[in-house]
Amino acid sequence: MKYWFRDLPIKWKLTVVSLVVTSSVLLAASIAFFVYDQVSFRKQLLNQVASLAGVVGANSTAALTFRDARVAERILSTLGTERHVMFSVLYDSKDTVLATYRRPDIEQDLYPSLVVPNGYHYHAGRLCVFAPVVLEGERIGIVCLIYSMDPVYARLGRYAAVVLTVLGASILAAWALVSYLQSYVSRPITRLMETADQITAGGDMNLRAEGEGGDEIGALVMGFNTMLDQIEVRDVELREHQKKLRSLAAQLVLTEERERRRIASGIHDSICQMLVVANMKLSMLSEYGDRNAVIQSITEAEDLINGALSEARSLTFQLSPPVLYEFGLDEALHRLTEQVASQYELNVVFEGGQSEREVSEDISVILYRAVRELLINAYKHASAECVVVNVTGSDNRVRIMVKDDGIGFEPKTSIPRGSSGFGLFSIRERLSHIGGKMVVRAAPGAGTTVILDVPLAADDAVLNS
Amino acid sequence: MKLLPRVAVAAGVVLLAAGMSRAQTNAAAPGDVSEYRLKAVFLYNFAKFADWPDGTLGEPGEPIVVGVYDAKPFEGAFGDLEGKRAKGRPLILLEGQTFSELEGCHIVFLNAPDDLLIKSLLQRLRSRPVLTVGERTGFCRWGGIVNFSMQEGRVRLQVNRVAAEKAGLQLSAQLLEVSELVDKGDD
Repeated sequence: MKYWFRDLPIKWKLTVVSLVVTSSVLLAASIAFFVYDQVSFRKQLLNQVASLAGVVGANSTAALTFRDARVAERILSTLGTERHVMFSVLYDSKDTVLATYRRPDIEQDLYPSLVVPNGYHYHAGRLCVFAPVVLEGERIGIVCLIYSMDPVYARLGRYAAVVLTVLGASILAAWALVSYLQSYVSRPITRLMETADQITAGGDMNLRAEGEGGDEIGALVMGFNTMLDQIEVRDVELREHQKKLRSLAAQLVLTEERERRRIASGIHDSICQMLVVANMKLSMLSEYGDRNAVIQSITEAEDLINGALSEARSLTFQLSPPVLYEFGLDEALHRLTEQVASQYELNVVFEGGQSEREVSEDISVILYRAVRELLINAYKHASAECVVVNVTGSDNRVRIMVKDDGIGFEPKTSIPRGSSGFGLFSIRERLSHIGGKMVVRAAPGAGTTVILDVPLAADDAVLNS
Repeated sequence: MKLLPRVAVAAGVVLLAAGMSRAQTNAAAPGDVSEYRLKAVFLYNFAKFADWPDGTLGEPGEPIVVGVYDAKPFEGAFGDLEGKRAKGRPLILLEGQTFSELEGCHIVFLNAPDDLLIKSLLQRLRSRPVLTVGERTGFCRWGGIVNFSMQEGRVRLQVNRVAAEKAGLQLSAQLLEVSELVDKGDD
């Protein structure tokens, strides 16, 4: 039953619920009226029969007193006008029968099994009423009336017929009304469901559910549409993100390739050349007999090897700055600013030494690269003349501010576009990867300030992932 | 004038026997109830079905007096009726043979053995507010008001409404209903 109801369409649920409620209420009301009617009707009938017995008794006082059975029977025979009186007995003061009356169609006497001075009982579909006959305060006899319950049963039958008719008609009327009215509730839900089905099947996120009214269903439709809007916005963002990630991956490959080529050409152009010449110089030693010439060749070879060493160190530094590992982030950033200042003829001010705690290598590398990127951005894209790098820190965070006096940009429009946007995007991604964040304050002609804020106790799990 | 002696025991036994035989018969006068017992009960009950002229019954609470010319046939049938009440008054029984003894009674049962004596007493009681009761054929014709007549072994009532009117008595319709009316003295 429960499952059967659960799987019914809303339209039918509403109809079933309404009909069940309507018929239950009607039935309960009918039963209440029915019971009330029966009780009051029986009471009324009882009063009627009791007063009839009283009248008969009052008329029978002389017949009882003077023991006149003939007159008593004549009095009882007047009950013939009451067609539901089946049998009647007049008892004297000693409960002896003085006279009886029997309806002509009744075949045998219906004496009560128990005679009481006053009261009534129901037996075998009959009402048996006793009324005392009193003369001057003294009970001189009893009238007993056996009354047929046919009127009660007839009324019962009529009532049941009326109730069933009214119930049937009401349920039909209720069904007609509910069938019409339920569509106000079920139609918006059906429409919403159809829209959801269409979106699921066709994937068309531009579809929207039609809603009306300010009720819960209206709110549901509105919520559904808002949800679709949000999904659409997120979809666009996600696609943009994916595009950037793909671009970033390609860029990374290119950068790596370029870097490799640079290192290769560096090694080829300088170190290899120097080592070749040094090799040549050393091989020439065997040909020289002159001690001075040998010494000169060795000196030249030493110079070449020293040059190669120096070149190799420089390359190593660019590839992976050893200062970062040896002296920490603060010092590495200091040297970076100096290097950039000399390399790009840029005025770079470093304000550091505030960070009290040691920053882990992973975070240091990311921050170092980020600052480097920002400095190069300031030179290349912002045409800045002066850049300030400020490092502060607390127990659990490190905060680096890179502020330039360049041309600036419109953050909302420029950030996601172009190579500078790509750089910022990349930094933001890397920072978020270690639980940090980047705040950019920029305006056209007012320079750019970028703040990198990173928690020191970066979650290992985050880093490892 | 003397009060009847209480002979309640014998009457009580008879009554008990009658009460126990709750035979559902159509009998108006059960055979085991004696004629005079019935007459005694009827005499007392006339007080409930008759109205006397104002003032005749005396102050409230004063008794209604039932006079009997000869109490012998009753054989104590009055015993358990003593102390009964009607119209809110006690009923008392008097036995008396002379007019002076009977004229103060409200109900008088004239069962004198001599018809002439009865007629003479009736003559003198006629215009007085006394309910005269007899048991002789012709009692109503002689001017009596109620007569016990034996019919088919049962005690029947005969009533002379003219005599009742003369005596200033009002008999209830119910009493008249159970009685044979002999207004013209045709009993």
